[in-house]
Amino acid sequence: MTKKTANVRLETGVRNLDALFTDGLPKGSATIIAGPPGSGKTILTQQICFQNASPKNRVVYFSTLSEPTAKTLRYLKRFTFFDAKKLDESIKFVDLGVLLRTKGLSDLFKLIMETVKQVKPTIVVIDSFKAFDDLAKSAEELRKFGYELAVNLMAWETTTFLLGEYGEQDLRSNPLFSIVDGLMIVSQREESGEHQRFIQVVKMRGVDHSREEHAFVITSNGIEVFAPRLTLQRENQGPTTKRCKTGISKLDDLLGEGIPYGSSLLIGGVAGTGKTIFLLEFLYRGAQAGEKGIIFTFEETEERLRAAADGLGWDFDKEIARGMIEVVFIPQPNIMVEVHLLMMKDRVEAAKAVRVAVDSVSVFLHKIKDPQIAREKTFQLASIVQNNQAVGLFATDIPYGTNQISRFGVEETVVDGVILLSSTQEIMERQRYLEVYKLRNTAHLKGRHSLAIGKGGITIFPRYNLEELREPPSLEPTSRLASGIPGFDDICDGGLAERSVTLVSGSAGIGKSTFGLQFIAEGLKHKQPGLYVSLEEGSAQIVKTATGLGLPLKEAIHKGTCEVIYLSREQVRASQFLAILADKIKAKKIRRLVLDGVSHVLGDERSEDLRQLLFALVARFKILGVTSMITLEANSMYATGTITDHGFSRIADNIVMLRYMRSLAEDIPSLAVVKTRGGAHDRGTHFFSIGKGGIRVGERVDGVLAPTNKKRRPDKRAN
Amino acid sequence: MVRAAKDLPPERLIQAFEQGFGALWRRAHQTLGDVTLTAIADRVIFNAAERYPVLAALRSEMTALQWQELRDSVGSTQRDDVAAGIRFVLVEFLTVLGNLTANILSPSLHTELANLVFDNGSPDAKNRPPQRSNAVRKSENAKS
Repeated sequence: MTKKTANVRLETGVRNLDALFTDGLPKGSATIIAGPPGSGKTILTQQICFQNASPKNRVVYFSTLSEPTAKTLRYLKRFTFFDAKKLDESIKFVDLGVLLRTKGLSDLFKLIMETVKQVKPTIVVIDSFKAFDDLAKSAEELRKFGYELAVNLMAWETTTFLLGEYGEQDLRSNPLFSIVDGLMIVSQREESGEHQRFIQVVKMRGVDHSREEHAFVITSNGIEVFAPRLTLQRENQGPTTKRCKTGISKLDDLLGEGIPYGSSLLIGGVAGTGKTIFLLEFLYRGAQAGEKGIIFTFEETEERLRAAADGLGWDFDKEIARGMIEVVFIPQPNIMVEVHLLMMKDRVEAAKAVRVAVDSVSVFLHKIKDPQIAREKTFQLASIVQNNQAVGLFATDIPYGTNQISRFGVEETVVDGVILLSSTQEIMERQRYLEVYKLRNTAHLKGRHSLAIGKGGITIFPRYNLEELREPPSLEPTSRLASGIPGFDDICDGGLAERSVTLVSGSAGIGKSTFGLQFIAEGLKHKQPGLYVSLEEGSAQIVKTATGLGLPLKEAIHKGTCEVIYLSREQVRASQFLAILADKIKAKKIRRLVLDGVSHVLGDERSEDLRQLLFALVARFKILGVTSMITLEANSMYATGTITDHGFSRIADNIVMLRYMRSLAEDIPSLAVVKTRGGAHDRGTHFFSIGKGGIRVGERVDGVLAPTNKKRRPDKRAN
Repeated sequence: MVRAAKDLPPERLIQAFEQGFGALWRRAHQTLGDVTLTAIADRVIFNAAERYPVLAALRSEMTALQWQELRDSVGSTQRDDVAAGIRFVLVEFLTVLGNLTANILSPSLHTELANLVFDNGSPDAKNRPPQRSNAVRKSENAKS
C-alpha cells in the first residue's frame, strides 16, 4: 500500500545543488536537464540516482540511442558515487534503443509505463528524451506523448529527469518545456581565462529557487556545484565578546582589547612591506597559544614559507607537524575563485582553524575585473571567517603610487579592519611602518608605528600607547629628589621634583653625561632603580667613566638595580625609543632615567618629529612615575640667548644649561638653572668643576653664592 | 461507509463502493481532469490487482472506473477478497491523491465520502445512478 509522503524534497547528493532549490529537489517533479553534449547531464543525473537508489527507492534509467548503456556503465565506474551492488536490485537500466528504431511513441509509452508499474521506482530517468523528437510525426504527437508520460509518471509519484541536448530554440518552442515542472541547463564556456562549467535552474515549480548560473566541476567524486552566494551566507552569530590577542610583539598594544573573534582584517601594503611575514607570525604565535591556524597561499609554496619562518628563528615545522598550522598552496594559475572559496570553507572547518590567513586576496581575485564582484568575493571570504568565529588576515597588494588601501579599492568596505604596512626611504635605509587604519568595535591606537623585522620576527614600536591617552599627573613641588650633584640642589629649590623632566643642555665634553651619572648614582643610594640610556657612547664606556668618577654603577648593575644601555642610531630608530624605554621601565621598576645624547641620535629627524617624540617621552616618563633627565648637545660652546638648539624648552620641567665662560686664560665651565616648574631656583650662573665624585657646583659667576639656606628643604625630599 | 457495507453480498458491495468511488471521482475530476485522474486510477488498480487478483477485472477509463466486468466475474465465495480489495482501492486512491495534491483535496474527498447515502438494497437500486450525498445535494440546491 502506498504510504503517505512525509518528506517532499529529494536530496540530490550533489554538493550544493540542493541549495539552489532552497532545500532539495521537489519529489515527484519532472525536470528537464538540458545542455550540449559533454556538458555533464548524464553524470549529474547518475549521481542523483546512485545517491538515492536503494531496494526501497528504486531507479529506472531509460537509455535511448544517444549513449549505449554498456558504455555509460563503463564510464561511471571511475566515479566514487558508482556502486555496482546497486545495479539491478536498486537501479534498473532499460535500453530503449531497439524500440526507438522499430516502434512508435505509443509503444514506447506503454513500455515505459509497464516498466514503471513493475519496478515502482521513485526516480525515472530518460536519457535522452530528445531522441523522441525525431520519432514524433508532429509537434502535437510529441506534446501529447510528453504530457501523458509526465502525467503518468507523476501519478506514480516518481521524480523524473528528462535529459536532452536542447538549445535556446527548444526553450522557446518545444512544448515539453511547458509541461515539465523543472528545467535545469548545464553548459560550459571560457570565462576569466578558465574553462568552466555552469548550471542554472531556469524553472522549478513551487520552489523558491536560484535563477543564477553557478559554476560546477566534475571530479572523481562527481559533480560539485559552487554557489557561494547561497552557501556562504553569513550566519547570525550574535555579538562576540571574546578577543584575539595576536601575540605579535606590541601589536596587541595597538589593538586595544584585541581583535574580536569573527573579524577579518586586510593587511595592505606594496610589495616588500612584510605582509607574508606578518601572516606567518600571526599563525605561529597563535599556534604557540593553542589556536589552530591555516594559511592559503597562492605564490609561495609551503617549502618557501617554512624556509622564511625558519630564517626568523621560528620552529614552524614543529607547529605544522603537530597540526597547529596548515599550509594550503594553490598555484596562482590554478585559482578558480568559486571553487576555491568552497574549498577554503571546507578546510577552515575541517582544521577547526581559529586563525585564517590568505596570502594574498589580491592574487586570489586577480582574474576578476569587476570591483563589485571582488567585493562580493571578499565578503564571502570574510563570511567563512565569521561563521567559524575565527580571525582572518587577508593580505592585499596595494598598487604603487596610489592612495588606495587595497588592490581593488573596495575590499576594505566589507572587512572589519585594515592594517597598513609601509616603508619609506630614510637617509641610507628603508624604514618599515605599521598603521591600524580601521578596526571596528575596538579602540585602537591610531598613527604610524615603526616596525622592524629581524630574528624572532616582527617588533612594533608604538609611538605611544593607551597610557598616554590620559593626562600626565601634575608635579608635586614639595616632593623632591636629591640630584647627587653637590651644590646643585641648593640652587634648584632643594632638588628635582619627583616625576619631573630635566633637560640638560650643554656643549660637547662639558659634563652632561657626568651630570646624568651622578643623578643615577644618587638614586641607587636611596634604592631607586636607575636606567642610563646612552645614545652616543657604548655602555662599557659609560660604566668605565662612572667607575673613574667613583660612582658605583658597576656594582649596581651587578645587583640588578641599575642598567646602562646603548641604543645606536643604526639599530634603533627614534620612533622606536618609546616602546623600548617603556618596556625597560616597567620591567625594572625604574625610578630614575637618563637619556643621554638625544640630539645626536635624532639629528636626522625633522624638528617637529623630534619635538613630538620628546613630548611623548616626557609624558611616558611622568605617567610611569619616573624622574628623568635628557641631555641635548648645544652647538654653541658659550652662553647664548638660546637655551637649546631645537626650541624644546617648553617640554621640560627643569632646564639646566652647561656652558663655557670665556676668561683670558681658559674656558671655565658654568651651570645655570634657567627653569624649574613648580619651584623657585637661583637664576644665577655658577661655576662648576669635575673631579672625583663628578660635578661639584661652585660659586656664582658674579662672585655671590646663591642664598642656599633660605631655599633648602631637606625634610621634604622624597628619597 | 465500510461499516455500512459490512454485511452486503458481493454484488451489493461492489455497487456500494462504485457509488462511493463515483462520488470521489466526480469531486477529484473537477480539479484534476481526465488524464491525471485516469493515470492515478491506473496506478491504484494495478497495485490493487497485484494484491487482489479479483480486481484485475476493474478497468480505468477516461470518464470513470468500469465496474461491470468485476460485477460479472464476482461469485459469492470471493466476497471477503472483494471487500478487502475494494477497500484497498478506496484507501489507495485517497492516499495517492493526498500525496500528489499535498492533501489539498483530501478534506473535501473525505467529506464527500462521509455524507454519502447508500442504497438499502432494494431490487431496483443497482439500476439507479449513484446517490448524491447530503452535502453535495445541499451544495447543488444552493447553486440552483
